[in-house]
Amino acid sequence: MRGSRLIPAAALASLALTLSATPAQAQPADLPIPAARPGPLPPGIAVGHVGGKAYYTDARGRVLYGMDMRVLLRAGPDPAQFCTGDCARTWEPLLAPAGAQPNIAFPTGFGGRPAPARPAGFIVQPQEAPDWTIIAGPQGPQWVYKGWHMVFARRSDGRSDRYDGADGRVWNTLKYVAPPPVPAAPADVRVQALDGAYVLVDGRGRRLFVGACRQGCADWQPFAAGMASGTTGAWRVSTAGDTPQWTYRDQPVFVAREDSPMDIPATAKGLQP
Amino acid sequence: MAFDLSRRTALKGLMRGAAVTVGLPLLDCFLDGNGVALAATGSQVPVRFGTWFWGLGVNPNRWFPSVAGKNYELKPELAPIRELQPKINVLGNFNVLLDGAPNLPHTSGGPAIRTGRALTADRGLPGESFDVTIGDRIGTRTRFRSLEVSAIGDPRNSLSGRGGGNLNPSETSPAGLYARIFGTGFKDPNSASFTPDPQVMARRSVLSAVAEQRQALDAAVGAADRQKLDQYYTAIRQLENQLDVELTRPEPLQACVVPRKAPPNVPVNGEIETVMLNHQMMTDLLVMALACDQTRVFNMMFNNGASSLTRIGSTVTHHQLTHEEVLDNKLGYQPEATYFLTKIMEAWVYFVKALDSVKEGDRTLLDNTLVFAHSETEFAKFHTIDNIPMMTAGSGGGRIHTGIYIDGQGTPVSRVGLTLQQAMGVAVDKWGTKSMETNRTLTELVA
Amino acid sequence: MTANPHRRRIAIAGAMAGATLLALAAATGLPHRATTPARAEGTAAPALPAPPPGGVLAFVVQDFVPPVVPGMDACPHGTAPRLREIYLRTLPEAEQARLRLKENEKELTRLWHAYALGADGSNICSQPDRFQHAPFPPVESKLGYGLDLDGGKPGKDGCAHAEFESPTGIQGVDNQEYRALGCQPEIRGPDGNGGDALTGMKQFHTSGEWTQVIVLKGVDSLVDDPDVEVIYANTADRPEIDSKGQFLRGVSFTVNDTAPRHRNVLHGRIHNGVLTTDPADIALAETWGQGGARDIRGNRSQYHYRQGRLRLEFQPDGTLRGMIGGYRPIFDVITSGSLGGAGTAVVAGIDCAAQLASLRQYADGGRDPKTGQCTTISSAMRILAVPAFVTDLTAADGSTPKHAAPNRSPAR
Repeated sequence: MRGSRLIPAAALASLALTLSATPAQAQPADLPIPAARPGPLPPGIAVGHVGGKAYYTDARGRVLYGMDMRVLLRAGPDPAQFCTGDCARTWEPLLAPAGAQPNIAFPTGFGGRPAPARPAGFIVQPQEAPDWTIIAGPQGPQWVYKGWHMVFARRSDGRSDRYDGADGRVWNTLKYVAPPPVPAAPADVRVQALDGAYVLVDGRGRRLFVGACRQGCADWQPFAAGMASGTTGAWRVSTAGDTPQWTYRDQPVFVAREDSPMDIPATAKGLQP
Repeated sequence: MAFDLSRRTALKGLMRGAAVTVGLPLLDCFLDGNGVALAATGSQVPVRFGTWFWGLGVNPNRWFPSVAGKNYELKPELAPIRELQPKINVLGNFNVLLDGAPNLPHTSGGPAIRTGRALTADRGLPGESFDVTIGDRIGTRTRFRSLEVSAIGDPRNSLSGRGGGNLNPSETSPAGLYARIFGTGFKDPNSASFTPDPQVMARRSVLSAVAEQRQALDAAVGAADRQKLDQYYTAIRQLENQLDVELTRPEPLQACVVPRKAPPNVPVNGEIETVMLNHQMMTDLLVMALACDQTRVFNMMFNNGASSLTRIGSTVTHHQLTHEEVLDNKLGYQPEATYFLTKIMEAWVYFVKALDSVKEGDRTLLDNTLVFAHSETEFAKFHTIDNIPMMTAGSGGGRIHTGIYIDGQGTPVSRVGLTLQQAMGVAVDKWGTKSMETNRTLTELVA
Repeated sequence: MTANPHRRRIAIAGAMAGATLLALAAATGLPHRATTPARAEGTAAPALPAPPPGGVLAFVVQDFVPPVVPGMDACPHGTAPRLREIYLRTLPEAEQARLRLKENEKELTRLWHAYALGADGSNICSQPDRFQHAPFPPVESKLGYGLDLDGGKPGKDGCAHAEFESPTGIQGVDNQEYRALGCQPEIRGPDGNGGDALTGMKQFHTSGEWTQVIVLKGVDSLVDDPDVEVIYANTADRPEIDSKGQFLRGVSFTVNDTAPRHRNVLHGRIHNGVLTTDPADIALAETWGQGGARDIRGNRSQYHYRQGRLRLEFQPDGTLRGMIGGYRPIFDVITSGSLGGAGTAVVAGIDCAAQLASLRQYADGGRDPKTGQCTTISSAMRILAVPAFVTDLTAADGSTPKHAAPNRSPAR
């Protein structure tokens, strides 16, 4: 019999959505928000709080909003050029330093005209973009967050987050989710968000855990170590069993089943960074 | 012999008076990260495996048999295989389970069948395709681990690879395929003379020259590293084996008839007549590559997923017709689009017959081969990916039963990949991920 | 999260047995064709069994298709032409004739493909507002399926329009989407019967992408009950299918309200064996291969019925049959084509700009007080739902319980 799950079913569903939505680089409040990537922020951008929620802010402390270019495709073939006129009177673009060269553009669609030649290093797939890139906006080079969201601040009422989701989710506050911690762990160990916390998983997304199996140990699959693996932080390789197995603080580490990667046995303790 | 072990340590030896060095694998004492699994040793079983792909599916009600079992019904679009029916299995009603991943039109179905995983990117493969896994088992004793071929051109038209964005590129012209198989490096197994390639000899000698140092190195490292070195030596032996293939006078092969003349340079485009011709020439070359034991694994792409086939002189593509042409309620299919399916089935029959026409003892090359044919959609107009049409041809040296229609009853399509791998000797008892993880072999298929 | 299908089958075994017993208690009936009319308005409800103890019933939606009244009298000009033909009709007859010659096919292809593109890089499907195309000829028949959404005359936020009469006798049917696009070849085949959409939509419901379930709570009688709670939701679980493509009864599904899944809570009543719900916004999943690089609209497409409502009839065979009706934002109707971009136009030959023009012309809801233009269009889908088990993980207060015991809804 399988052990009872420590993570409730609803959280599992949430995780599934998190995983599937991650490539979408979402910012709307009703979708899982991907974490920031580690690294410095562009000059003038900081992290601030409104009502207990963390957002990116500009140098004046105004909440930064992303204009989701995907939602504006209907308005024109290059949604990066959308914000002029009334829009530009309401929203102030967060411009990149003068002379900065754009390194991203809205992609051309299937069946349309071919994309122009791009210089080396240009981001062709926005979903693969780093957190901060520069696009050619109507008022000059402008910052883009996570490939799709052109960065603006509201000219009036700039410190408010109440315009989140405005105009059919064109405008979304740029929500800051701290990058996951980087554990001193073997290369195959990763950090995964789960139900508001971080847990450790293997390269296939299966949860790692320690503990003692008392009966029915079929779900206690050893977390196998490679032949050339060595000590990393509190992680060591045990060769006591049939195959080399990782230990964490001298406790053998096990891995969850692939078909229920977040389920761990009832007596197990999930590893966290 | 003592070793001062560092990342730059290498095994040294002499070859014809010159110093040679061979680098070491990444040992524990060099690395903090995980090791990389090494390839399995090659199989001696003289069977072949290959795939044959066509894009844009079928008209399900005119192709799939109604009743599972032997002597299955041949509906109009499957009728061309009649002569070969005893050697062909049809597989239907297997589902692609995406677990919330999007059904990317013409893109999700093929990789799901080949990898047992749902594709979340818009290109590439979500994992290793099982033809590659089988190649690791049966394809290590031939010059080519596998040969990939696309009759419609485009080297990126491939569903074979180890995962990620990298695909094994396809040969795109008969002339190119000829040069690859029978050009430089080819040793005619039936030739009276045999001259080993000096370059291959040198590579082989380098490996032999360092052998003396192995024992000393073994004594200098810990238990875990010794295991690692064991695997490394296994890999070296495997490489030696492959080099031996090129250094050893091949066994004469009765069925091997080397084409003496390269095929003419012909256009490579989407016109159906051109693709049919290229497919025929490439099939003939591939058949001889198998008969001459140059490879035991192959992947033939007849057309592409979003098929760019056209009629001669026309600009209207097969893909366009599947979407634009109205589904005729009276006929129950799209007549213009179905023209291309007729030609595709004709090409499939040519392919299977070509394998079956080569005698290998009291069997045919087809009997010693397991060919897995499949599409990427069930019915292209709607991009449906449940019930994608699939077939096998040949018995893989008697490893599978043939002449059966297998009804998957809505179970995961990964059961097909699992079963074919098991039939080809891959040690796997479950395969696929999430809802497509399965340990349910198609027992009615396995001999 | 979808469970391993093999395990799921084991888990539902008990439910299947229960469903079988309950199904035996009811009369059996052959599945209706999607175009089969529901029973006539005003006729008496057939004999229906008592609801199960606890008053909870659950269903999975098998058919969710645009309802079509068969026959070409609705479209005397034939079904709508493809973009190639639309382009040709913009030309003088002599030029049309020249381009139709086989030897000029390449030239024609180049020209009609160019017709789908704007000089600024726009295309007729991603940016249909930028192309001024004439609307398609509408459905001209008086008959149409759907619901009476406006009580017979447009309200203050509606626009004047003709109304259909249902073949089953419902008067004042509002289904302007059908009027605008009911002659599209995807909706109506060349023989006048329902077109590709009747079968084309099914994959989305069988795959778990769009699968819908309906849970009825507090049902005291299948004939008359003034107070019923209706949960109309999406589930990520896949239905089980029989060899004829019909959904199996008694299969288990799970619902949660974690975005972007949808869970609509409606209030309704049963009268004479017919369940109707009060008007409310109803949102349901409608994704189109979105994900990866093709996720060009931010995973936002959905079925959105403003002032949406259900009219579903309990059947002796245990199924629910009827309609959902409501007002859809007009662009939602062509979202699929828009996402396909130029490919929709040049591969499938669909003129999205003409479709948008048709939808604008016949829009009858959400009137913009500034422009007077209606922005939503009355619409209907035919529903066939079969008994199922639904585990609704969402608590009554709308929160998602962490360790809730499954609220299993027995099938009849």
